[in-house]
Amino acid sequence: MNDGTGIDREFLAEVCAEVAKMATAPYNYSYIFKYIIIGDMGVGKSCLLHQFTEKKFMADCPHTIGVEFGTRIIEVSGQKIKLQIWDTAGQERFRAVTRSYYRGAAGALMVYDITRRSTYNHLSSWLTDARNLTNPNTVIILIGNKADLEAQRDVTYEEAKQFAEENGLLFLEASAKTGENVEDAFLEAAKKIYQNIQDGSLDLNAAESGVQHKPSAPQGGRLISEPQPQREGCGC
Amino acid sequence: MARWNLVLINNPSCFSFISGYARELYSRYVRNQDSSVVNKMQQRYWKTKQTFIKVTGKKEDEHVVASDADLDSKLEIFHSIQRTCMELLKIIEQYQKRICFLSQEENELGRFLRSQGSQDKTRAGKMMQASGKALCFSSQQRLALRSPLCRLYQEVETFRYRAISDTWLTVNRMEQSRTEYRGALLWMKDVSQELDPDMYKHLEKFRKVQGQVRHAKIHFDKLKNDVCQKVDLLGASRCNLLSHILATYQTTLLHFWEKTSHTMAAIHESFKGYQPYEFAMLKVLQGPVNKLIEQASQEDNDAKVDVAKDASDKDNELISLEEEKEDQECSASETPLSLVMENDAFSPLEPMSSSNQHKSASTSLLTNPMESRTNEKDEMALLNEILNGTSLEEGDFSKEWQAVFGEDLSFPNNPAAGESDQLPSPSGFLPSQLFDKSLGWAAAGGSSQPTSQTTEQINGLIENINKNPFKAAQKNPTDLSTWFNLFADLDPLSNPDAIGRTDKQHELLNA
Repeated sequence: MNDGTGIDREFLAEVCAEVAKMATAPYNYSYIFKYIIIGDMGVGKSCLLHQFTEKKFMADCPHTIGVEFGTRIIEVSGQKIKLQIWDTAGQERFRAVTRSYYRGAAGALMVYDITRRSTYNHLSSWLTDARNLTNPNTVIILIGNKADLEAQRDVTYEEAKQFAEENGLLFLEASAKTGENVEDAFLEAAKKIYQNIQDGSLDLNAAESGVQHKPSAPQGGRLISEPQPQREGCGC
Repeated sequence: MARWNLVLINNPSCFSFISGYARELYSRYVRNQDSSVVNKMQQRYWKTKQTFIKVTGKKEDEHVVASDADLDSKLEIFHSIQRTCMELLKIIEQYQKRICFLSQEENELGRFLRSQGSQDKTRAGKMMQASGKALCFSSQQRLALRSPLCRLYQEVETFRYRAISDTWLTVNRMEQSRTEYRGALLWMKDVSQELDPDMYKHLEKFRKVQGQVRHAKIHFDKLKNDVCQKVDLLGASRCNLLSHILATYQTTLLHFWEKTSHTMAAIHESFKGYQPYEFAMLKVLQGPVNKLIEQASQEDNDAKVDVAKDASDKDNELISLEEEKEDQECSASETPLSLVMENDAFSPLEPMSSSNQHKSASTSLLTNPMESRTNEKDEMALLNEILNGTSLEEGDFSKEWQAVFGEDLSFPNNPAAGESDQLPSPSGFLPSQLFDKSLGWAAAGGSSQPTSQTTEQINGLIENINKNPFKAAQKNPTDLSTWFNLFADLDPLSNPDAIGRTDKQHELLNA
């Protein structure tokens, strides 16, 4: 319907509604959890992140320099939670650099490669770092990646499970290639963290809890052109 | 781009936007900004900081250092190659000098002996002349060693000049790149201390550093590979080079030894028998003489049983043309003089290990007075033949070489000791003791006192040397010496003053 200004009101209303939906939806989360992914070089940390955020398997991922970031919003107990995931570099030379990133992590994914024994053997040193540099309430989950390569398995499920139990870690075997257990890995950790919040064992007001409590109101009423919904990736 | 900037600044959660598909463009944008002055300053700052750490030797981050462990070990290898090549060159130079000196001294000694020998009309004179000739010959041959050494020197020098310098350049480039890379890592560490991806400023800073680190890393990795490859090649090519040249050197050395030892053995063969001599002036030389006396006495004792039995026959056999006995058990190796001379003429160059030949050539100094002039002439002709000819029996010599050294060819590390280092004296290898002695003389300043004592020494030593490998053979020149005692007065070689003493010594031996 023309009213002389050349703008179709109905069309405009539709657009506004659409944009409003887009604008508000991404900000509709209550918490931000900081995750870090740690482990030896080449175990599949970046691929796990990519699989989680992009639902794709990246065959040719170059070495992570320092750290890369990814986010995704998940839902736990009806609460929307934004996961801010720090994918750290596994190369030894970056060890000093990546140690700075542990601070303020709510959850840590410790990854090893089930087809390479050495990556499993180094877990104790990664665990030491994680325990030393994060707060005591940080949820650590052990992930045995490359579960699809059953033929080349070098570490049994049982022994890793035992190691996890001895150290109070959650444990899952996953495959970034097939996507098996990838979502579960992140979700399990989030559930545990949320549980800790409910228990009160995690103090939200503490500086380095790794959890930010965000009000669910959208940030301002401005219509911002968001070309895409929340999607993260390594951008390689 | 400008429009996006506005959006970014206004939107607190721009992080999510940056991480979208526009991230790629953004990174490129940020990288382009790298060329700004501020960025350059920052890069320079961190690189300088790292250089400072390296130069002052402050402890670097252990993980960074550990990650370069293989590279560091390759650098160790490279530096060791560099160092050892330098040392090798120095040693070759010294070795060459020593060879020259030694050859000079040897030659001097030889000439001296010859000149003195020509003045002496007795058999001693002949021996001196023969020995002198042998020494001159040996000194000439020794110089032949210099040629492969020169070659080796040149090759190693070229190797150093080309291959090592080139690798050195690459290593330097790699080190620079490494400093830059480590500086960038320090920067990244610094930026990471306060990193919050939701804060735009932080993230931009981080991205900048990340780009820098990535760039430096690629560069460094490439150079690191280059260095590793080059060092490996360097090692392999040096091995190759050395194995080629040293083979030549080894062959030359073998030839030299073979020639000279044959010569000297032949002389020894023709001048058999040892005359104990009491040194009045050069007491220091009495030591080796005593040793020789002991050895002579041992052999004397061995043959004691047969001495008495055969003593009576010797007088008769002295002039007869009896064949020598081939029985090794039998100690009596007496042969008529003329037969001996004939045998000498025909068998100088046979392998030394033939005990048969050894027995047949059992002339002694002591029987010389009995000889006719013609026999002496034969001898000289024989010696000249020996000295002028060069016979090389490589196969035989190689066997000896293998027996002594196995497969090793150890390069002389201590040229001062020269060949004596390489030659174990107790092995019975012919030239070793002689060389030891001659080196001792050369070191002592070759021009020894012109006395016949020197000649005695030489011959005694030659005698002694030849004795060692042939202990099995029941040769017994002292058989002849026993009855020589009857003619002691007639021997012109012995010190007239010492005749009495000599007899006493023999009495002791026979006791």
